[in-house]
Amino acid sequence: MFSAAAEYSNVIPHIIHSWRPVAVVLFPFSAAVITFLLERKSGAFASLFAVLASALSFLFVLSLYPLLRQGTLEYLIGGLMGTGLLFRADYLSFIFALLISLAWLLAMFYALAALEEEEQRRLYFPFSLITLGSCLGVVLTGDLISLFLFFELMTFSSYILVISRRSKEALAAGAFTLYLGLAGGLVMLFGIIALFSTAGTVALAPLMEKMAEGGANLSFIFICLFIGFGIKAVVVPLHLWIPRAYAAAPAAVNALSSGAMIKAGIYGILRLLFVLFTPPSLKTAELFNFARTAGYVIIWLGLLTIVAGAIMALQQDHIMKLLAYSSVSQMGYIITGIGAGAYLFGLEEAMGYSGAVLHAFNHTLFKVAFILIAGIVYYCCGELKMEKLGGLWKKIPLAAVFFILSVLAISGVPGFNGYISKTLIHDALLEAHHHYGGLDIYLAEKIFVLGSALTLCYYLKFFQGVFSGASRPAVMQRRPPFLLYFPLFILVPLMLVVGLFPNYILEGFVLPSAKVFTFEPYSIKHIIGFHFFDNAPLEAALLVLLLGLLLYLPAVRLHLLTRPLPRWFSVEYLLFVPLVRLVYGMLLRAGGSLERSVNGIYYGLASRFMDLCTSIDVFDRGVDGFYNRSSYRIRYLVESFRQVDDTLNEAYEATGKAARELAGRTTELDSALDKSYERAGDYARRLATRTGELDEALDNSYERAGDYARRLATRTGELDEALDQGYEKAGLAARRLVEKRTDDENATSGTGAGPEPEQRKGLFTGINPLEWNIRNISFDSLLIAVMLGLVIFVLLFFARGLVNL
Amino acid sequence: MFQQLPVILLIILLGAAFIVPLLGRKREWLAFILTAAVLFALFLGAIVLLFVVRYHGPFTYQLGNWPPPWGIELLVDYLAVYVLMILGTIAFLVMAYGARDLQHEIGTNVRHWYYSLYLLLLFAMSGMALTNDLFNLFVFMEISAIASCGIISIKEERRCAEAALKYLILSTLGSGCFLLAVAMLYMVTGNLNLQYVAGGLPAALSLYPYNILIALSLIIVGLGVKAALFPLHVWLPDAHSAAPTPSSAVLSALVIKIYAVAMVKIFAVFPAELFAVVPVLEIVLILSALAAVAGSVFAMLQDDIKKMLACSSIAQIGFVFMGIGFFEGQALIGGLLHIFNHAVIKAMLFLAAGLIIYATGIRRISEFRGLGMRLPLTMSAFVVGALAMVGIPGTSGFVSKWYLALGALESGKPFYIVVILLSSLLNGVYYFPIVITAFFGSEPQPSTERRDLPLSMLVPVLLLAAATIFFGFYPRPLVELLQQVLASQGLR
Repeated sequence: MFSAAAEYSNVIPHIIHSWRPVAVVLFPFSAAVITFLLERKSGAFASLFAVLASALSFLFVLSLYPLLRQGTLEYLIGGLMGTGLLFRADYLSFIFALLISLAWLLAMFYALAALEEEEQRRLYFPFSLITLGSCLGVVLTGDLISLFLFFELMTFSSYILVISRRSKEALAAGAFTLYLGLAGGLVMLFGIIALFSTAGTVALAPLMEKMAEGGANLSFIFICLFIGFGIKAVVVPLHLWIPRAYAAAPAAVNALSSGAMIKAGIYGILRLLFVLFTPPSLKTAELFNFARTAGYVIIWLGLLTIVAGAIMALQQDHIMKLLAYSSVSQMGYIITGIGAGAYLFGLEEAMGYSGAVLHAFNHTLFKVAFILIAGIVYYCCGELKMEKLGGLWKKIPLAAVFFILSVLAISGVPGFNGYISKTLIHDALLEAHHHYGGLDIYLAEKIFVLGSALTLCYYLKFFQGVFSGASRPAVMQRRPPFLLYFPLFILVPLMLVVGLFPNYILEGFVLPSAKVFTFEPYSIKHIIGFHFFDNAPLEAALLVLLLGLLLYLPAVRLHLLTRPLPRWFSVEYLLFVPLVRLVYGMLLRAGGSLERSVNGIYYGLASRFMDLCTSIDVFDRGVDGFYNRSSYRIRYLVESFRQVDDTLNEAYEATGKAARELAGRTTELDSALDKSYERAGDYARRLATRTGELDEALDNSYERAGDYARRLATRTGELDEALDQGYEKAGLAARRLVEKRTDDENATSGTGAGPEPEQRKGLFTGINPLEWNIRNISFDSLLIAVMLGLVIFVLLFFARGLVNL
Repeated sequence: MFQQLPVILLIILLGAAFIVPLLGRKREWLAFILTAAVLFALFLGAIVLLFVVRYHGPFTYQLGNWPPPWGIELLVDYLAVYVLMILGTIAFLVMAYGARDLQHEIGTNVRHWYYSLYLLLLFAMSGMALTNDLFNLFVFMEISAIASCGIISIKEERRCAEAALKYLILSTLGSGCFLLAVAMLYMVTGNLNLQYVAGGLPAALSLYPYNILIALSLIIVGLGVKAALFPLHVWLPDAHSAAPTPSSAVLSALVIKIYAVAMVKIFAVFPAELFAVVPVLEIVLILSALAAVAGSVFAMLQDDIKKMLACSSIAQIGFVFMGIGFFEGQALIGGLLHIFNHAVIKAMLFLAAGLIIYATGIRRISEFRGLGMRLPLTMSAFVVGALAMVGIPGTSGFVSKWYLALGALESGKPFYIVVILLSSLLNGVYYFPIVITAFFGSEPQPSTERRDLPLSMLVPVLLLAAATIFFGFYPRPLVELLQQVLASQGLR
């Protein structure tokens, strides 16, 4: 017995260098390309090829098995992505790769018959192959960066699957899924960066010690990575995308999400807890306590997920949404199992671990079956709401039978697979209580039982709403082809096989994967030969079933299940919507208010500019008036100048007369003197004539000067008028400019961001420089100046430090 | 033997810029061939210089055989070679694309002038990468600003002229700041050669600390305006969106980066103790973080595809400056790597947007419905670009952000990782809806205009997309080159 346990534990893995994992991952990608090319020729042929390719990749995954028995397969494509892409397949990877490719094969078979629209098929087949490749990539890589690469690829390619119906609803659900996935991916990247910078490596290996040495904040890294994986693994409260996506996407896609993609998240959480954050030994108490506390928190997160998922599932009328919440609830079991395993590090970790892994496998079996049955219902009736369905028991009896068998499996009836994994997880909780005691764990166990009972309740509701009861408005439109049932013929027998031969499955299939980890041999020994059909677990299962019935019957009587919970009573409305609104609103408001304030500054500047123009106008008018007045003055001045001129004229005339008189007198004097001074008289006469001439000349010149002065006065008058007109014109133009600006302002503020009238004119011909937004330039230059000032201020503020240099 | 190569490259570029318009008056195709050939020569020359530097180490070339303190010196080191390689590659591919696009976008009478301006711009940028002299750097900077204005306003539209004028005025302010800074450094060190300035600075620091600090702030603001560092980015959205597509691609991919390179060159001159005391780098860091977030928010508000890409450049240049702001180790590698990665990605995105406009005349994102089916290859390239901008692993955008984030942790500032991740998420918020409407929008628009895509336009886009993915998976050669850049600059 002990040697058997040793076989499963704590062996340093023998590493085999093999290209097979790379081939397994890359094959679906190349097949997707071929499918894409084939679609141009013939759609039917392409989809057949795609199904064949998924069957081949299932076989490829299976072909890893013989090599895996000898050790871990690794293949490093060096140099890629900085650290190199490391592909690695160990036993845990193999289990997940197997269940992923199995779910894929069945879902694609189903899609062959179920997807009818050409457009849907065109997207579905190539992109589901890409998603298969990235899903396999997630589980078959050996370091976090490679894992992250495929994880992101999966987010993107699964987005295209979710929106394959292309309805408005589908697009919204797809966008939600995409952005949530993207945000989760970035948070995870943060964790990876923090891990790499402290541990110096991103290998999927026990790194806790290295991280602690590197001074890492362990819980921060842990939470980042957990959120990243948790979004895919629908841990409450990160489950929001799944009901939307399920309601919007066809069954063939939902089977992939539930059967495979959320398992990739579970795989990540398993690696996170049991590999990355495994305490190196019991001696390092701090690290050990960290892992144990993380496990404890995760148990409660799991229980929350179980109960919240179940309650939400009970409230649904849309059967795909019910199945979505059921998936949430079932993931809760797995997470509780993982948490219990981590909580029991060094004691009974294998119990929780193997329960979680087995439940992941089981969940793929029955949830794919449920989704395909819901798909068959949709195929027949074109309806997914329970209030419009009913009485299908007689119409599609085969589906009803499969449904009942799957319900038995999921609710943990002995003999079916759900019983086995739930018993293991339940036992892990019991062990936890046994080892650590405490009321909380005792309570956890009871909540676990309650959650299981609720599972039964919502599937009874499903059954009653769809298969039994009276026929409802949505009647059968067509009979499902047999191909739709084909996957169920594989799934349901598998459930029975697991349920009836649990020990064989556990020891041959699940426990070998424990080799990957450093589990206590003792805890593995405990599981080997576990008595599943002992009294205690059987009683527990019976209790769950009875409790489920007891809860269901009165609830139906009281119509509790048809009354929906208030809209606000959900994680979304209590937590996320306000948060997202806050962040998004803050950002947009910040951007908006920045724009608005810049705009405000522009408008402010514009209105200042307008004020300036107005005052210039006023000033202008004032100047106008001033000139008017001054020209009046000048006219007045000229008039008076003319008067002066006249008087001067008169004065000169008067002087002329006086001079003539003087000349007369001189003549008299001359004649008087003539007698005495003949010569002198002669000279004097001549002089007198000359003086007369001079006088005349003076007279003429004075007259001329007056004429000129008169002319000058008229000219000044004209100039003045011309100036007057010029100023008036300038004033008018300025007024017009101001008016135009006001109009522009009104127009832009009135119509908001109206499209600018297209101005396609030659360079510098139709361009009026005044229309350019010079305002912006002044603002921008101001900004530059302010920045410069700010930088100088800061630098000079710190300059005191320089003195000490 | 290759000592003369750097100056020969510069002369070829400058000479061709003068010959091309002469040729182009009669035979435009000849002008184009010459332009393309010269750009290809630049690309080849960069590759040759890369090997020369790799095997013989960095070397200098003295112009006119004048020794350094007086003569201008060209320094061919790892950084210069790295930048020259980016310039050559992107410029050649963009010009190859432009062969057809320019016929559609700008008039025949000015096309040869466009080639001339383009070559002049490349000459200036190569000069900035190579020169080891502060004043020479300023001269090249001015040539580059004028040539940039030319290739923006060459499209005879009002908004181009307007954007170019705005760019001209603001970038002149930037150059003015820079010139003042050069003068101040010359004042205290008596030298313009960067090596001599580096030698003189420690002594000058104790004598004239204020001069040096004001010179530093002038450099930050001057180069910040030119490189569109938030909040000095105000000219960028108009200029980059109004210009013809090849200009937009070159401006966003190369021109704004070259100033970041200049900043690295200049910061390397200052003694490290200065940065320890005075928060020069912190200022750059804070501005870059603001840029990374604000640029994305601006981009979210745009409906015009080219304007959105231009706003996204503001965010991305923020990442480059974030690397400069840390100025050490992995973060600086990340920032410098982002110069290359963003050049490739943004050139590709602009060219793809240009293809969309060329083929359909659609500029508004809200009208993109059904474009994915009409232009499958173009939109696929666009998808690659969008993924790279968000930083999805497997694309080159991831690698630079990865190094930046590691560097942020190394320097003990994890806050900047949050900024990087937030900016990435915001990038997703505005890039993915484009892809979604293009491929999965409810119904395709009735085609208004339709033109077949010429191969010469499609091939550069696809090559750049392939490079985005290739360097996403295989960044090692670039990272090793950058490690040598850091080592040769005497940085950690």
